[in-house]
Amino acid sequence: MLIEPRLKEIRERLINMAELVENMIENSIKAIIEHNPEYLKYVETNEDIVDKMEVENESLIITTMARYQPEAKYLRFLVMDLFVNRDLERIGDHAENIKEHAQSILQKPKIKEYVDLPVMTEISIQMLKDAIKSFIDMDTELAREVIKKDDEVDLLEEQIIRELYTYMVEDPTTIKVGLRLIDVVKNLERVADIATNLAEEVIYMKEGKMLRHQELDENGKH
Amino acid sequence: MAENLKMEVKNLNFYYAGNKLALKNINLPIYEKKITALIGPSGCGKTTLLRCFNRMHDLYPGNRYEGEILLDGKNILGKDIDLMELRTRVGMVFQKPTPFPMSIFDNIAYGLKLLGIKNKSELQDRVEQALKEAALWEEVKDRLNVSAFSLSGGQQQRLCIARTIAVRPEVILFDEPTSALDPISTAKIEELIVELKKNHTIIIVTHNMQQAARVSDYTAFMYLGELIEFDSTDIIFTKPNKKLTEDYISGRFG
Repeated sequence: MLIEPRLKEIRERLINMAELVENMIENSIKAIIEHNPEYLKYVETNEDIVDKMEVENESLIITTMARYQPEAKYLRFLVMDLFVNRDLERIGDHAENIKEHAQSILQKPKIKEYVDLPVMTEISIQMLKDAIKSFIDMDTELAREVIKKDDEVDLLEEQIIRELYTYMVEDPTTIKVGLRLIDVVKNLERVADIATNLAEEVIYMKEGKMLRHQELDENGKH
Repeated sequence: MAENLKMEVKNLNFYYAGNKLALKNINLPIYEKKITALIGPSGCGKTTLLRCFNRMHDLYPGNRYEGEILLDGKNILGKDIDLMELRTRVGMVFQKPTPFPMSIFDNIAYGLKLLGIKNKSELQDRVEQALKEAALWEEVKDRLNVSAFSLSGGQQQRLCIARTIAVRPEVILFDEPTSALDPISTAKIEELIVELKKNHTIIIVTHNMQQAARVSDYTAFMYLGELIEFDSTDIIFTKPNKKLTEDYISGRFG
């Protein structure tokens, strides 16, 4: 089928974009954890590249729809590609937000050693990696794993924010950094949410089950 | 994207016998090793234009060209042009498969013999190569000596493509090559056409817009003998510049 090389090209572009935004998130948080602004350069260098990729990918997907008039699975794949493209761009935006907060946070000394933030980052990035992998391989089991992990991230988010509140109450000089850190954690939580949405889309594509706005049962099933 | 010009239509007017103006001031680039599709409603002049590229109109008296069509910079509408040589360089595949009433092998060897190739092993090699390029070899290699009419419609059309490419044309003209074929044969021919652009420049006329969208790199939209818009196929099928093109692409007329 003449459409297949195009689909392959789109998938390859999305995989490259996914790797890029994963690394952007990783570097933006690393800058905070290691108190080192050097890591932010990676985000700065790539933020415009990601925006450009989104526009190019979208145009390629729409052109492919117009030219090849896909039906059935090809149509579902291309619609999914459109969602994924937009989601990846949003993750890039979150990396950019985190970078901006980091620039301010790094102006001041650390208010504490970070314990939960690295854990939350690791889980969020793993969710993102798995969500992309489940999308590439159409692996619904892996997609369900991703969805299950979202609760862990939510708990960590609450815990970190609660802890930051106590620091800010005890010592008002930490408020500026503390508020910035809360925003960082919220951005990171959004990344995990986007990974979850992606995983839900994968399940929809493969099984036709719409999981959005529903809860998984204790076994991770609907 | 820098493209090389293989052919170029410049200020072309074409009159059928009786002074009927069929093409009006056409200007169109044809890029090397790319596929250019000519689309438009019935009677828009797309087939008339296609037949100018190898001067098929000269087979009928009274037809007249004005302007120029350049092939590698040389005007092929000039009086000094050897039409046999031109049609070897610019081959053509027609709407309906037109095998000759002879064997599969001889159908392809025919053009080669006209070119003066007599050596048997060379003929065999060239026939085999042409059939392979036309993705037909595997299906016919054990029955090269049977009549070409024993092939299915789709196979006959691929045989005609093999016959055309056997003489190694630089440009191939396709005149609605799949209009007489079923969807599966159509898909095979479309894939073949895309494959052929590795070595050939291709111009295809099709009334099937989706076919133009699928196979071509560039698209020219024609209407009432005029070229309305020419652009990359990506642009023509997503955001054409002219309203008339948009209306035709979106099925409002035609």
